[in-house]
Amino acid sequence: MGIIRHVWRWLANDPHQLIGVRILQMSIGAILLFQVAITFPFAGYFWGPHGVGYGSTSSVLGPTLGDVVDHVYTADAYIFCVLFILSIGALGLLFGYHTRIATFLALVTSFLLYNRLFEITDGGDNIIQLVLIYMLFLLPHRAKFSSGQLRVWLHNIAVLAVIFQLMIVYTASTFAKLGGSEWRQGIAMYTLSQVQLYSLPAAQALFTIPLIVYVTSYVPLVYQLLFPVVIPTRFKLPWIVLGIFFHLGIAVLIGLVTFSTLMIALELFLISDQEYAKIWNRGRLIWKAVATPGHQ
Amino acid sequence: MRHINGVSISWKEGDRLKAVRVWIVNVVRIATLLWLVTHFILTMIYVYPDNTVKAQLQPFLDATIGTYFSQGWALFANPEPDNADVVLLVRPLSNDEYSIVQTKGLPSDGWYDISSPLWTKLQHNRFSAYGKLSRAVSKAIYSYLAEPPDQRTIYASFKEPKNQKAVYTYHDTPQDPQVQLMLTGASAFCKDIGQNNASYVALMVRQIFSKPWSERATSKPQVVKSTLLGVYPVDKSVENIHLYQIGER
Repeated sequence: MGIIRHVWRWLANDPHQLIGVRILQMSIGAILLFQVAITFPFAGYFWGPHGVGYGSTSSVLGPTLGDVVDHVYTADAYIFCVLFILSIGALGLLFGYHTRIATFLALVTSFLLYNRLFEITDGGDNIIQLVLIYMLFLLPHRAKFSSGQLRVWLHNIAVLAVIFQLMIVYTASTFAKLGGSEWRQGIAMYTLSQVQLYSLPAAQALFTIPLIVYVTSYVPLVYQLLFPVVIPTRFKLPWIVLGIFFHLGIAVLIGLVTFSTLMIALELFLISDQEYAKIWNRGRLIWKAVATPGHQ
Repeated sequence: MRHINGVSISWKEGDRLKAVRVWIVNVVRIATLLWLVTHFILTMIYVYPDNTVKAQLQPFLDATIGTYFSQGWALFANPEPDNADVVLLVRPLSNDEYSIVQTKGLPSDGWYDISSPLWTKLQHNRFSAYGKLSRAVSKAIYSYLAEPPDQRTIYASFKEPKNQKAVYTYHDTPQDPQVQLMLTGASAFCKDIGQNNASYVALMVRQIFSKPWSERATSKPQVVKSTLLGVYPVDKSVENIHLYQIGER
């Protein structure tokens, strides 16, 4: 009964992860803006009527509504409009301006692009879609609230949804990897590094060294599997730091820059506002000590 | 007394309204909490390995999580990482060449690799669209190759070739969306390099397999496998991407 009361209070009283929410909003805004910038010259080729895109929204929206919405793909001008609206949404998220409307705009427009050409997306785009849905229920940036309001409750439910989604991404990917013999043998990173699309020439040679291959294959498995277990403990912060390095490695070696940025943002989302305050204070003390060595 | 009674009645009404409001808010709170729990239980069942519960709930899971909360992170969680570079080879054909192809088969020269230049550029600049440009074709190839060969769309051969090397297929438009995507990419390439007289294009996929772990330090050559996808009319309406012209500068 005590646990239920504690959970109820956690959800009802005050909004959580306000700093984490801003980091996530800014990261998703930056990622979407970056994607618009790099794909803009090829927009017609990717999503236009005479391009490689062939998908439809009917699978999600149903045949009637889907057919209507699919008109977006019938002219390049519409695609550019979608990109323009996506940019507005992304800027709103990045600068914290009308974040709920910005989230909605980003969700709708990225959904349209995602469904038109699934082939150019990666796991990060998939998670952005999911997280944007949950983010619709977050409190807008700088919103005034009172303790116990329904919107505070919805904010906290959305926070939990983002956290659970991250846990599922990690644990599900571990279970999936364990189904493959190369991950179990610890040589998966060798195979992955030999494919040019996902690697660098330097990495191809580096990943023929057994120790490096075994460590880089097994460590992510252990990291991801233990993630939901470690996060509620006092080892949370070191685990998040390890995760940041893990995703920086993915960005550099596999080249999934936006995916890694998103995953780092999701990890930083897990740090509570109180923990950020502590980190900030400790950082300030260290900075003071470094900046004024004569006082020591 | 009347005045006191009036105050008392309005207070009671206000109190009742407040109670109803609190009751509705609590119902919404419990409903959202139940949604959260149910949603993530279903998501877990959907994404975790196959089991009896998942098998029984599959239609429901596909209609809910699979449709509205799709969870596909193939690269991040691929149990068997891709072990081959897949290259799309393109051979533009003029009308004259096409006539010759019908009797003598496809030429061995004049093929273009439209995949590798994009990888090289991506390796030099991670902050670019080259990843997406190359993934569009590569993912289509991986999906095409993942289909069992006997279940791939078979196109009617327009002539029985005398030379078995010249076995190829022809159809006005590919029925497989993956091949259609590759054809659009190939047509854009033809347009880009100024092959304006090319009316047809032959498509071939080349898989260059990585050496197995046990053979990584040997001088054994990599296994290469080529699959001919067919000869198709060039899509002249395709977007001009100015991609390969830029690369040649």
